[in-house]
Amino acid sequence: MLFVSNLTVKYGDLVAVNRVDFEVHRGEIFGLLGPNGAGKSSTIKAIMGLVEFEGEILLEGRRIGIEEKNKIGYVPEEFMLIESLTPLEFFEFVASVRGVRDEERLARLIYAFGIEKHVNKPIAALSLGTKKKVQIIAALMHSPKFLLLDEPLNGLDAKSSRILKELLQVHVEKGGSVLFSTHVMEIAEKLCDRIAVINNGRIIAEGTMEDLREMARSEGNLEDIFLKLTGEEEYIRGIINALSK
Amino acid sequence: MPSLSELWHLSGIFYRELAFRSLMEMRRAARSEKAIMKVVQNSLTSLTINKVFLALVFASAAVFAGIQGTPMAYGSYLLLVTFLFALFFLQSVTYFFQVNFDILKTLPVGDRERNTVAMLTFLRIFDLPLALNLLLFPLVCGIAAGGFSAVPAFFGIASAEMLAVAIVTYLSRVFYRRLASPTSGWKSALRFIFIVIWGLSFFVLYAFMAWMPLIYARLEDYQDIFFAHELLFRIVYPFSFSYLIVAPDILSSLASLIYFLLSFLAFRWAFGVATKRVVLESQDSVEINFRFSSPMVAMLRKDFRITTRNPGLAMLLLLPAMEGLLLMSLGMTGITLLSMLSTFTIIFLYSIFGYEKRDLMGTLPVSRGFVYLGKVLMASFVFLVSLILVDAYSLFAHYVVNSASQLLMLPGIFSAGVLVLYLGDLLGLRTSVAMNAVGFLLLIALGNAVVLLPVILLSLLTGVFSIAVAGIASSLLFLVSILLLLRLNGAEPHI
Repeated sequence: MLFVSNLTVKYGDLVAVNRVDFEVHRGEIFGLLGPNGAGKSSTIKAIMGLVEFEGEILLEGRRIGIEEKNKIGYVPEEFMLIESLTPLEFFEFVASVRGVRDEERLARLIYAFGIEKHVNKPIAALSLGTKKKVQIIAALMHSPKFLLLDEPLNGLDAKSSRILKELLQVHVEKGGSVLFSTHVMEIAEKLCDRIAVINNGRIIAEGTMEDLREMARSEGNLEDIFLKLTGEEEYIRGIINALSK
Repeated sequence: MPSLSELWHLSGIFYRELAFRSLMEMRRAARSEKAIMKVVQNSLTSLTINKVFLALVFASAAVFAGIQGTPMAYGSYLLLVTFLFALFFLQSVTYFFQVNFDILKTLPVGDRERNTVAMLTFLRIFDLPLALNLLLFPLVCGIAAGGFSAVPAFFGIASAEMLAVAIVTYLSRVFYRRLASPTSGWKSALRFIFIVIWGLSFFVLYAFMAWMPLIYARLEDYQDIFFAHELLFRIVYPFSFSYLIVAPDILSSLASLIYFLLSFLAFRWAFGVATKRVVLESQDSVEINFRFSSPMVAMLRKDFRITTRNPGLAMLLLLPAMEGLLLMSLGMTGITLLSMLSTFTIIFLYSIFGYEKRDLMGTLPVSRGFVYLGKVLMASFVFLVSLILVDAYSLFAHYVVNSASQLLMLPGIFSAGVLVLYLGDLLGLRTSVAMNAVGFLLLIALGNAVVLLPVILLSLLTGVFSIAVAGIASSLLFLVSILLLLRLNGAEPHI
């Protein structure tokens, strides 16, 4: 469904993403796993067309232009909301621009994430968690085929987090796809069908959990595998030793 | 426990935050680190300059009152301090209520110290004019009306300032609730009116400066009434204090004492609420009704909501019409007036464009042409309404309305809008007017040239020929802008 080839993102002299290749297939949740500053958000922004990039990005075989944006539901890591509007006004705006007319689905999403009491308050006055829910609802309202989620569970309460995870499973069962970035290993391990480990702008490993275990020659969990693959095990041991003194 | 000097230092940090917020509100389009740093550096200077300016106005008014030396002059001065003070600081105190002092709860600072920091920050808003008045007015009265007069003068000015602080606190809390709470229907209209008053309050000092000679001239006309009702004025605020300065008696003493106590209570209330956060009005709603519309209507509605909820933008929305009417009242007509209208419309256009969340637009199926069109349509509407109001005033004042020029200007403002946005993007001028003054002046000049070209052709040539040439020029410019919009129909809105 999504094809990324030779993707490079630069901010001035800084190379945030360096010749990255991967594919997200139909009906799968693909995890982009990496520490802060590894290049996850830059990769996702490039897919969404929010930063300039080199390389090729295709969604269903087509370059992502203005029309393709309606096939994507995007949850950014940093909020992209209009703070002087209420959530209801914001949803009306996004839905109208996207041509959504399904009031029932939108209302169901609002109730599912439990923000019905906040829909008439200014977004600026909402808590971080509620803002995140507003952003997620705006990304899901038009039933997109492809979900592009940048750290979507950050700031969510347990109930909403569970709902989102269940929704993602339903989404892929219906033939949709998800590209999911996170730095939380447990989430990636439980949720993703395939994982790409990104570090310093490069993908250093990619595959199912079994593939990654094999690559790292480790029987541990994803955290162990990740630290082994990124070569940070020794570094962490050194830091802990220094701090415990 | 932190010492008072440490708390004073902390209050300085919060005051800088307040200053930053007030300036950042005007320069919301500042996104780059450099631009934001510039706002940080300029914010404190900007507030300080305003305070120095206010202090100078008060000082000159105090000296003027001293020269006159009448109860009416002193009373007028105290009245001026009360209301000018309250109106001038309306915006700053509203921003004060947005500053979050709860951040101190995460530090080893107790509730009492937190309240002290809030109070000290609150005091910093008024410090210079407040202190100068307290010193200067008694001094002026002491010199003009005898040494002992300094004492009632001190109590008079202290009352005026305490009352002003209480008024501005009350108004700011009301305004903050009104401004920050989105509502619909008639409440939206009410909030818009609040925003306009709030925005205008800052200009009251400049208006006062312009009208001061007229006000003082008028005061002399009322001298007779003042003398005829002296008994009444001896007990009316703030004239009781002015009689206490010039010719004290038991009536004015008693009335002044009551006013002083009342203003002290009001001041205490203001100080008390200064430490409390304002609870915003909001509806807990469970009934959800959507109003879907076409993408362009949704875009225009969103922009209108943003504009009417933002004091700076609301002022810019009204500026073309207000300036148009003001300039006409000063006798300005013709091309000069029309160029002023188009200038302020372009400023509004560029400002509303600066507020656009272009990253958000980049995630939606809209093109750059669509975003431009939305902004230009809104600006054209603002221009049209301004023209209608100016024409209505012209008819009222029996000025000649040049309908042909105005008709030619309507497609002109559309074309100018598209070109200004396009060139602004091309030159990388994505920030606000204030952040890119030189580049923006060039854009205004270009925009005005586009708007006024057909009008100038019309005035230079004569007969039917002139209308034809001007009409062709106007149509050509309109065509160019439409072609440009079509070309941008496939372009991303944010890059």
